[in-house]
Amino acid sequence: MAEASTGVVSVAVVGTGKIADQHLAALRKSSRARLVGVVDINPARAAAAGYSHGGAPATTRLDDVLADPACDAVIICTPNTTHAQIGQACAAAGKHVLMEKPLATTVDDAAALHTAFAERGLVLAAAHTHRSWDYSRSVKQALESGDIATPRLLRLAILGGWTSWGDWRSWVLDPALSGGHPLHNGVHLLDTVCWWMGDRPVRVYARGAKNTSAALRIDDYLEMVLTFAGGGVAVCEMSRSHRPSRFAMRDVLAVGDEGIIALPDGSDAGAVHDDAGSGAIPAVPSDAFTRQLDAWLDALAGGQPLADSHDGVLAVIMAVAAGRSIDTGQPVDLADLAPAVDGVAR
Amino acid sequence: MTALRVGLLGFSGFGEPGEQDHQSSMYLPALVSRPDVDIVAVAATDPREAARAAAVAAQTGAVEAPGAAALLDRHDIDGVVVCAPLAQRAAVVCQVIEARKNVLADKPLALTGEEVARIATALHAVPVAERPIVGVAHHLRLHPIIVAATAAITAGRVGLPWNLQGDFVVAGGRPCPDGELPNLGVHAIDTVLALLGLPARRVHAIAAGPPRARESAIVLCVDHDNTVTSTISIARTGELAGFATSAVALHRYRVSGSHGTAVLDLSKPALRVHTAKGIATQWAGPGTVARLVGGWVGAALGANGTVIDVQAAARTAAVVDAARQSLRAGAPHDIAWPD
Repeated sequence: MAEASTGVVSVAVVGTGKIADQHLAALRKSSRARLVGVVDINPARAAAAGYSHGGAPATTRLDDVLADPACDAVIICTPNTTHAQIGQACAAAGKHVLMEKPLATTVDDAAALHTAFAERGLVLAAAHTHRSWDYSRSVKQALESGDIATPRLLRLAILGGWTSWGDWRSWVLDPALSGGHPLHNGVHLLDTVCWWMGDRPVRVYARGAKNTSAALRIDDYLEMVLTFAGGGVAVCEMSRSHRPSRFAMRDVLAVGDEGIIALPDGSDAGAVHDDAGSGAIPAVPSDAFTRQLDAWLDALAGGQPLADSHDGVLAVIMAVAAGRSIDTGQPVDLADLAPAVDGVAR
Repeated sequence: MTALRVGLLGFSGFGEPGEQDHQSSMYLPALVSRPDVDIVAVAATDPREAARAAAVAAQTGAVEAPGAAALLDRHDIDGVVVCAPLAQRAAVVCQVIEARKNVLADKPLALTGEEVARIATALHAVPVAERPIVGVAHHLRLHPIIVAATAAITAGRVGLPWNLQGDFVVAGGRPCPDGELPNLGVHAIDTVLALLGLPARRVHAIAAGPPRARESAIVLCVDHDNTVTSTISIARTGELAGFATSAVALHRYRVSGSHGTAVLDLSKPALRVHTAKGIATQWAGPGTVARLVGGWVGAALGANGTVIDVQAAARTAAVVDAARQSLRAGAPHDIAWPD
């Protein structure tokens, strides 16, 4: 593995779907990293991605980038159930990794990834990108200010219609590839509220619904209620099933002993009413993917990523527990799922 | 004009007798503003209320009766507003029913479903022709946005509802000694039941807060018929600038349906007034207590008027009872939904 402490970091991107575009755009803007290859099992997609990003070498074989001594690090953007295997291969090859969420789709796989990278002194960061968005950082700052004293109740709702999942051919709808909605999108909210609360989650009670079609094999609406060791509670809602289909809402509420923080829907948008109807004009945010990339690059130089592998493992534990709670109709204690690996679950 | 002749019975609520006095602070102002109401008599239900009873008698010119029995014996009273201490409230309401007087009872009607059932039994024991009207002060469901939204949802504006989320946060004030479930919780639960119009079958209640104050916030996850779910958060935060002590700081609902989503902010309608002293909100329309009292007076006079009845109280009590069980067990609990 090449030393990556001060020079430009050479990065390959594995998986060239929609989310990879965000990472590739961040790489393009960065003066601290350069794209040295793209990998996709689909040769046409790989070629298109390479061509679109400065003619980066494109391949369908992961081993091509893993064997390349000029490649320092890898960003993994493949379907969720492939994360464990690809991550392990990267660790064996001595490459640092920024892993799209979820870290893995089972607790054991997530713990094993953490261990594999820790034992080799490699960086494994989880792309819990919501920690990098302006709204989320604002809430975190407001909570850390102490203005509302100890938060007792948090709410985070990210709701939308069926606009980004495509049709029955979407891999997200196949739990064998996505791991289900708590693992696919739920981890974003679970991680974010844990970060905000600054406390250890101990229990989850979750309910799900298949609103768009009863034939769905994943829930397109999730509600996950986390309880924390210090007594706080967080209600997380994630939806791709709201109507109208263009509906989009993000709502945040924090109630503390001495006040309320509210970021209601529309707080960061203008409004437009035209012949097509009414809609929001969101304020242009800072680029969360750039912020996330910079933090990862800092970690390669000895700093701390925004979300490390501990956070990634914890998010998987919470998501798997949420799935179990949905199935059983009962709350689930996270201790029942925590891996028996020292130091993995904080 | 025909006027309803009203007696005021009790000046208490949660806590020690005389400590919480909605009779003086809420119902009295709404009653005296009405030309179709005469306040005839007042009575304390506990010696610790005596000073308040005397003050209201002096203010209104009403007779100060020596107690509940004396007030209920009067033939010049058609209706009674009951604000007895919670420990006695069910018994006092039954007493008023047996005296064949119409009742407007402060909420909660009683602390448990069993006590509400006792009231219902007492009411149905009265022959229909003599049966008084019993109204319960779940006044927040009379908020103009809730009334409009309930009608819109009933009409199918969002299609078939599949989820409701609600938040009810109060600023400052002393935590309720009987817990916030029968206090703040009753308002939010009743409003949710009004919006959805569906039985509630199971609840998982989760308390938040430090070990010594676990109920500073409570989250109720309710399962209704037709796989509809609701989640209601109830919380009391500290004093907030711009809000009177124990005022509602946040009250909102979101109803998600098969064909649309309704987002309801009950801080509206409101005029916002910015001055050097701060920001105040005002609205000229009648408040929810005024609407509640108007509906009760109208119904009691046999004119146009509707009341929130004992069945509504029984339903919220059923949810509260199950939520208490859920908090103790740390698990979901079935709701004994009253038919």
